[in-house]
Formats: sequence, structure tokens, C-alpha cells
Amino acid sequence: MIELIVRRLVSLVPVLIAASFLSFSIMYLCPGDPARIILEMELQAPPTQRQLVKFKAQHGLDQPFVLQYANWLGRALHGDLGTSLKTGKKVTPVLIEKLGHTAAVFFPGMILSLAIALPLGIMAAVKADSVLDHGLRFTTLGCISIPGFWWGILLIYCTAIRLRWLPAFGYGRPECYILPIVTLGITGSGELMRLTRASVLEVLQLNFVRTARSKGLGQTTILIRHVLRNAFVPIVTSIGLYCSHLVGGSIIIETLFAWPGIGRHLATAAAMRDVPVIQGIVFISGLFFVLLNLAIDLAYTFLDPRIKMAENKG
Amino acid sequence: MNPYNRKNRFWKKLCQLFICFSVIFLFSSCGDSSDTRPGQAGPGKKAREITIAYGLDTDAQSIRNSGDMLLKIFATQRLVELEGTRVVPGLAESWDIIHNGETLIFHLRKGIYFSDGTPFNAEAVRFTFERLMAFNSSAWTETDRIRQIDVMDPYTLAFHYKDGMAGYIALTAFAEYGCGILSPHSVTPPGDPRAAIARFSGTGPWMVEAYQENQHTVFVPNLHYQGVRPILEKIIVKTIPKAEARVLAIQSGGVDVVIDYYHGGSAYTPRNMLKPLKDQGFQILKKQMPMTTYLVFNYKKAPWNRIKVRRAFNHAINKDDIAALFDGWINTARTSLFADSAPYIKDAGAAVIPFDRQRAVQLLQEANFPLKRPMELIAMGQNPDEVKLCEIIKAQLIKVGVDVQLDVLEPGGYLERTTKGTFDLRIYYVGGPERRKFTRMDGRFNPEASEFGDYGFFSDPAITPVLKKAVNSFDEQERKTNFHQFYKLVNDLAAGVPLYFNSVFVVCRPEIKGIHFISSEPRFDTAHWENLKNAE
Repeated sequence: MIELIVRRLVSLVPVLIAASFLSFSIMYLCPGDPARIILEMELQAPPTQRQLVKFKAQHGLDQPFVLQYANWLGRALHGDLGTSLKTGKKVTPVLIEKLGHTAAVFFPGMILSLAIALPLGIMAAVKADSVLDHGLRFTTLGCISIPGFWWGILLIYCTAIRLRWLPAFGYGRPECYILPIVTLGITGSGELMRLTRASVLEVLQLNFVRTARSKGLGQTTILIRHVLRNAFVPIVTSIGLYCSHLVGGSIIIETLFAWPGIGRHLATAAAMRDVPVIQGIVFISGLFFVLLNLAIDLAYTFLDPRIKMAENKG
Repeated sequence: MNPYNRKNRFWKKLCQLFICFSVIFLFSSCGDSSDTRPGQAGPGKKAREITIAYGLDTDAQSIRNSGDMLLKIFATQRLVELEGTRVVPGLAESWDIIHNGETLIFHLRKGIYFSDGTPFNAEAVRFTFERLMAFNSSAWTETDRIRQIDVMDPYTLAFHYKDGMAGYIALTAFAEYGCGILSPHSVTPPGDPRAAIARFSGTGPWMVEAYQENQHTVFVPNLHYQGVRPILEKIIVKTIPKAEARVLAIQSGGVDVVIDYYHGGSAYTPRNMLKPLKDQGFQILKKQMPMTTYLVFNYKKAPWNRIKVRRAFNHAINKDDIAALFDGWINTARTSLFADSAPYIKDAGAAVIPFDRQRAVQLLQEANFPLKRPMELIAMGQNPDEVKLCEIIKAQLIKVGVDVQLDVLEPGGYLERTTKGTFDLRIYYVGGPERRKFTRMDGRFNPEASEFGDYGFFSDPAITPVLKKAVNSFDEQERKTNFHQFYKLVNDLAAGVPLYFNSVFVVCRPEIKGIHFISSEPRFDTAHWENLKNAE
């Protein structure tokens, strides 16, 4: 296992370099001169040539592409992701703050998704082809088909406007967290529930479950001790993929609820061609994704020892 | 009964009950819209404060700028103000122009203090403008025209121009939003024009008590303000970028007021949401601006460099459809190029080219207009009204045989296309809020103005000298005469298609009174809750 961890951490470096180089290149090739766009938005008028030259010199945008990237990478590896072209603020502390805001709703939303999806998925699998199963599958179809922002608007309309139970927007007070978390929870639960159902159903068909049943073990014992651990492997993969949406994936929810998260920050930066911010978010996303994959792989080995043995043999 | 069947029946009944309750819940939510009427102020809400939803951040702790327009209006004052077409004293009680416009001297009022208790003086004014110059701010059009600012005594300072003042327009520029005077102690270290703002301090009726970037700004009355003290004890300005989210916020009672961006060009409440809000019982306050939204041509390339083609497009657009699009909330430019508050427009006699589809078709034929090539109409995706407007225009142009390809772009892409001139038509606004009525006209039609850039709005050798005389002359009659000539030329040359006059809207709860407009700027110094006022 130590070897696995070390191997993965070592692979982090080329992955980060490749991802950051790709995004840097794409930004460089995108239509629109970042200096001109940012100045024009700031000045509310086209910038003069002198202003453009001065701005580019101040932010190193007049240097060759490879030099710009090398300088950026050198600083990034020391934790300095540069300065925003738009606001002049350091990118790293702002991103960390915004990531915290996003995580504050994203992870509870994910936990809520799991709390909804897992029990329902298991029930649907156990009662396969029953009325309950059909009802749950129909409900999850609705959850998957209806986009997240629509769920958000519906919840705002019902709970904030009609019932006046909760605030429609805001940040800071405990009640402001509820609607974004519930929206994310509902949005993510549909897919997870269907995956759980399929996974549990597949394991329930296997011989060792029949053996366990024939030994006289109760349904609950079979589920908890034998079925779930085997069924969880694809579910963990799905959770991992869901978590990869943390950075930039909740932009619509953040916009709807005026939540000061990283998704909204990324959208604003992309529209402004604020290259340092975009690069910073890509860098952090890459880092997060690699570490997340490592965590998932470690979870596999915990859930299924056969995977650990196969890795050792490999 | 078989236990398995009993269990099955139980789950069936449970499912049926669940479906019934869901349907009841759904239908109960689709009730009478009058239930969304604004109720009493929510529990815990203090009756001497209001919460405003605003689409932008006030930038009260800016590193490079000096704050947003709302912040400037709430918390600062300027050396001069613009009333109609006249520059009137503000924080400066008088001014002198000497050495043929090379130097402009301001004589400042005495006995005025900033909200931080420090005195307003010439050093503070120099600090404010040196900060604008240090960051080449767009908030002031004279940024790159000033050679030096000298403090002659504590209440007198001189602006020395590099090539002399352009004229009257240079004086009006001191009334711009960005020229709100800032206390040098707003930054750390105090007096450093390049330092970040730590504690925003001005001489306006409000002061900043708290600020959280992209979330909220809290204003309380400025105890050092020389004018009438505001009635309210607190105003909380919440930053909610999305227009629909601002509407939901006021409907849910989370905010009491929704206001447009002060210059009227963006971050506004979409006009088709105003009627539902009014039906729900909210007040809709409206003030028209001297700003007109136009359909603009890429006049530098064919076929738009021909007057006949431009006139044809003027005839092709039916402005009644545009009024209907916005539920009648805006006034169309059917009889005049600009609203009445535009400089000297009232008796200018600049008639607008009327809607006449047949004439449009005829002119297009006479001009050999290339009907087979689709015309590229670009719109900024961020402005929902602009996109809808473009769709209406597209539908109308199809009726005269012009095929239009509508490209909805994000801001960067839009700027790219306008800078490179890779478009045929676009939506643009001419004129501006009252503070900018001179500078915006100049910036749109005068290629020598810094705001004009590569394209501006329209440029013609006949228009430029007339406009320059109009905005630069210190003689009122001369300004008026030249403005009349300017408007006539804009119309005769069919520079663009005037569509509608912009307005600033404020949506507020019915119990709130006293919000008034100075020019087209909503002010809250006399705002109050009606029931509280009556109780007093």
C-alpha cells in the first residue's frame, strides 16, 4: 500500500504539469487578448496602445508563451498561483477561501445524496420489480432528468417565497446553507440510487448470497455482511466522480443562491480571460483529482482485499 | 393471509399515499399568485433598516480602483455636479480657468469632514485624483490629460493640463461618478495613491460600516455629513449577480429593494419581470435617462458605409414591437433620437426616420443590398434583454428580405468581435446617465476621444467638428446651436437605428417610501418604512 501511495504521489507531478500546460495553451490560443479584454471591461472603453503595453509589461504578458508558462509553473510549485489580472489580488488565498465556501455546501450535499440514494437503492434492489421498485425508479428518473437549477428554483419558490421558511439566498447564517445543500443532495441522489440498485441487484444474484441464504442467515445480515461490501466498489467510483465536480461543478447552484464559491469565481474569470485565476483553478482541480483518485483506490483495497492482492502481485 | 402478500399490500398503500400527498403538495404550491405579495417585514428585521439587492460588488476595499458607482453615490461627493447642462458647485465653491485652459483652479468649501473625522481639503482632492491617474482609471476621462496637480493652499488646488483643457467637457468630467472625493486615510499607508483601500471614507450621507467582498456592504449614516441626516439607521446592500435571483430574493422577503446598475447599461432587472412584480404588489419606480439603445452598423465596411442602406434599416424596424417586448415599461425612440433629458434635445427638431417597410424594401433594392449573405448580428449573452431585443430585430429584418445570423457571445468574445470589426450589426447605447451626458456623446462620435476606440458608435467628417464645438464651448448658446446641428446630422446620416430610451428602475416593497431620484440616480437618504413614520 505504501508503494501504491508513493507511486501515485510521484505521478502527481507529470499530471499537474500536463494539465496546466494544456490549459495554459488553450487560454493562449483562445480568441481575445486577455489584456485588452480586462482593460476594456475596467475602462468601459477600448484601451489605448500605451495602456495595453503598460498592462502587459506589468503582468508579464509581453513575454514569450513558454517563458510565461515556466515562470508561472515555478511559482505555482511554491504555492504562488500569481495575481488576478482583474482585481490585483493574490490568487491562492482567494481560491482557498472560495473552495472552502463551495465545500461547505458540496460535501453536505453529497452526504445527503448518499443518505437518500443508498437506502432507497438497496430497498429497490431487494424489492426488485415490486411497486416500490417501480415507484423509486420513476422518482429517480425525475431527479436525473430535471436539471439542478430547476430544483433550486422550485425549492426557493416553495420554501422561501410561499412558505417563508428559509432565505432564498445569502451566506453566513446557518439557514442559508439548507437550500443549496438540499438542491445538491436531490440532484446527485438520482444517479447514485440507480447505480446502487444495479450494483446490489447484481451481487444478490451471485452464488455466495444463495449459499448464505441457504445457511439460514437473515436478509439484513446477508445485506450488511456480504452484499454491501461487494456492491460498494462501483458506488465508491461514482462518489469519486461526483467529488471531482467540486471545483467548478456547482456554478449554477452558486449563481442561483448568490453563493460565493469557486464555480462562480471560475465563470467570472473565464468571461474576463483572467488567466492566472483560471490557471490556478485548473491546477487545484488537477491536484484534487489525483489525490481523490488515490483515496478511491485506497478505499477499493479496504473494501475488497482481492484488489490489494492483485496489486501486490502486479 | 400470506405474510408476503400482506407486506406487499402495505407497501402498495404506502406508495399510493405518497403519490397522493405529492400531488396535493404540488397543487397547493401552484396557488393564487397573490400569496407571493410582500407581507410584513420578516421576524427579526429591524424597522429602521432596509436591504437592497444589487447586481455588482461595491468594491469598498479595492486594490486598484476607487469603488463602484453605488458606493460613490452613497458615500462621496464631487467637486462639481451637473444640473441639466450646467456645471454647478459641489465640494468646490468656485473655479477659475487660466492660461488659456492650461490650468483649472478649484476653490474648495471649508468646514467639511470625511466620515472618518478627518478634514476635507486640497490634499484629499489631490490624493483622489492622483489615485485615478496612478491606475489609469476609466472613472475619469481626464486621466491621461493631466500633467500635474498642485496644492496652492489648504483649500485651493490647480490641475495643470498637458495640452490645455479640451473645453467645457473637461469641466463636466469632474462630475463623473469616479471623481467622488476620498479621504487619504482610506488607504494604508495614508495618502499613498497606489495603496489598497482599507477603510472607505467620503463626505456623502452614508458611510461604510462593514464590507464582505461579493457578499454585502453595510452603510450607516455619516455623522459628519453636512446635509440632512438620513432617516434610516442602516442600509445593507447584498451582491446578487443573477437578475432572476434578485427577483426571487425580493419575492421571498430576503431583500426590500432591488435596484439597477447606476449607469443603466447592465446588471438591471429584466424588464419582462417588472409586470409580475407590480401585480404582486411591489412598487416599481422608474426614471428615464438621457441614454438611447441603438441598433448600430459596422459603418466602416460595405454595405453599411452607404446612407441608403442605413436609412433602409431605419425604415425596417417597428419600434412598437420592442415596446411590447418590454411590456410597455420602456419608451421607444419613435419621435426623437434621445429622451428629453439629453442635452438641448427638446427643441432640436431632430425627427426620427419613421417605420415604413415598403420604403425599406425599396431602398435596399436601390442600394443593391446583398440579400443572399446573412448579416452577423452580435449580442452580449450577459444581458438577457439584449438577446430578446436582437431576436425581435432579426424577425423584423427577415420581413424586408434580410437574413440575419444572431451570435450570442460571452463578454470576452463580444469585445473581441467589436474590436476587430467582425460584425455587421450590434446593439449599443449612446448617451449615458446625466453625469456623462457630454462625455458619452463625445466618446461615441469623436474618434479623438479615448472612449471611442477603433469603432465607437459612428464617425463622419461632418459630425466630428460640430460635436467638438458642442461639447467644448463655454458659451451655452453656442453649445445649444451646435448640439442641434449634431442631432440633425446624426439623423440625416442615419448613424444608427434608435430603438428605445433607457431607464433606471427600482423595485421595492409597498411600505417603503421616500426613495427619490436625483437625475436618474436613486437616493435613499429620505427612504423610510411608512408604518414606522406614521407611528412617529
